[in-house]
Amino acid sequence: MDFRQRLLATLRAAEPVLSVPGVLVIGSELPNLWQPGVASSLVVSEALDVGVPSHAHGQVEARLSEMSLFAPSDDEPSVWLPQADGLLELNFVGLPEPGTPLSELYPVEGERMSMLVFGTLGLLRPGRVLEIDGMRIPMPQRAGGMLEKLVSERSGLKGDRDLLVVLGILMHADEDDLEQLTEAYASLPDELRHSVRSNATVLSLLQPVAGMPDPLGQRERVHDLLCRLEAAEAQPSELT
Amino acid sequence: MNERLEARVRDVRKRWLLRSWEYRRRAGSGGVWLRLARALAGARALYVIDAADCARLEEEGARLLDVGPELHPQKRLMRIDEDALATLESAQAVDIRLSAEVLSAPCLAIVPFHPDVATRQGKQ
Repeated sequence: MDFRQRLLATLRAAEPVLSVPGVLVIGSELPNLWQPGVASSLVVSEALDVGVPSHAHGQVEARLSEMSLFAPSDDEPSVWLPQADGLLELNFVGLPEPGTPLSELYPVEGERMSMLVFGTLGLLRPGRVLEIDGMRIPMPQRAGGMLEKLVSERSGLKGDRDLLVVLGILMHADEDDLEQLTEAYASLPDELRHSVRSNATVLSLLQPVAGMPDPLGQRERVHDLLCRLEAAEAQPSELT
Repeated sequence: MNERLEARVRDVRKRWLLRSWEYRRRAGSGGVWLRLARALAGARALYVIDAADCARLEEEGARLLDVGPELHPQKRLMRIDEDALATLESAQAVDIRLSAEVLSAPCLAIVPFHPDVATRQGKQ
């Protein structure tokens, strides 16, 4: 079974929770799902991140028993493990209520599933529902998908892979996506705008990683993104 | 709170604090490393050149980027266009990344993605 089949089988098995209003597929599988025909050529992660609005935690928990192919992990309260071959694990991540500070972080605990709510995930906004093989996959807007990764502190190989996820999204972004990204970027505090520019700069200098988008062929695209971000600053950079 | 969640909350909060501290430190240093990396990010191609070619380009009006002298040891870093590149005898293409080869080179020439930037700066 190839990765695309595993990803789609996981989405189908997780439909009971994905159908709860406000829930979004987030994280590293987004570039796979945005590839034409959901080609899913990138093996970034063996987990599917499911974003759960904090107010919907109870609804999601109530639907967990309908997911017969997963069981809760003994080690990680936010992870549900596949009970059959050919599935990815599910990682539940909390989405904050509107107006939550970006630096906020708090747990929402339940009897069967607990999760951390990250303020930075407030940068995600619901986007178009992806329809494939009769499934309806709730996706975020691409702009938020890129920005929430770019504001985060990154280091090491995991950090590089997260930045290549951004590249995977950027490669399929259109003008509207980039305008939304720039607008959201401009509303961030100085420190986080610096992180975004710093991470995008690092991305432009990354070397290829097997199974991930090739950054060398996309450097001009990243440079153009940096130019957009710098244009949104009050004082343009000397080096643009 | 679940122990694992509690540990992760502590870890993430620590990283936020560390990031704020680092941000203030970077602001104090003028963000030299980021500015060097940003200059490279705008490069379609990057060349190590010798001091003679560098001096000639300067005489012809190529402007040195401000970030070069802020590094230790100092570096001469300039943007050039394809026409200027064709006149350089010493130019050796290097990978565009913060490698030892790039960091140890005293003179670097950048061919930018957008040639108008090189031309405009070259005439300043």
